Amino acid sequence: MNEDLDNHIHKLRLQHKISQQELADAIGVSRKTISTVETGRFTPSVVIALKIAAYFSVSVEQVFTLR
Amino acid sequence: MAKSISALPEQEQQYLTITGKASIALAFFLLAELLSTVISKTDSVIYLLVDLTLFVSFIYCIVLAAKSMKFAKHISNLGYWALKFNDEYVDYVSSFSLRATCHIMVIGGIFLAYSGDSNWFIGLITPLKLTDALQILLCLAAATHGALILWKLRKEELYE
Repeated sequence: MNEDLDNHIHKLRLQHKISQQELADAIGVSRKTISTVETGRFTPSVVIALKIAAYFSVSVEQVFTLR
Repeated sequence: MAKSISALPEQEQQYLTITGKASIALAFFLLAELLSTVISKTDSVIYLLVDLTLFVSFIYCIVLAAKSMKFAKHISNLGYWALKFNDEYVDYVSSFSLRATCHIMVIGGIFLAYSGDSNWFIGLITPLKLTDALQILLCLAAATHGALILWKLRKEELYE
């Protein structure tokens, strides 16, 4: 688990009313990738971070923040 | 020319899960095979259980191998043979488990290479032989590989 990184994927998903599976399908990764990124157990690459931010139409800093 | 296939992430995950199960089945097979050579009483219940484990794990290995073949069409050659996947988390789990397996093999290999024929080691593992010790090492490596994959790809509905 990355202690320095915080993310708001869960909050953004709730706002957009989408499941992990829907987000995973939209950006072309497995549901497990989304699940582990969301819980902070896996740190994604810049590409996935950008894809998630683009999907929610926000900046990467609004999805991922340093603690 | 390398086969270029855009595999679905879920297919890659399923394939890696099968690989993990196959590693666990292989570990059971190796352990049962080793125990069957050690147990002297061939008419005991334990021997029958070991023989049953040997048979079941062998059949399960074949079933999993057959199951994995259907992924050959859907997964890239690199993913199918070298367990290198496109999905980031699946690839992370694959490389993590392979790294752990590699460390076990290297450390165990170095130990057996330098101490395998030492009197104290031979005395310690008697009635097992050096080849049996290698089989234990292989069993441990396979079990670690499978367990890490299955643990990291376990189902979690908690954060849905």
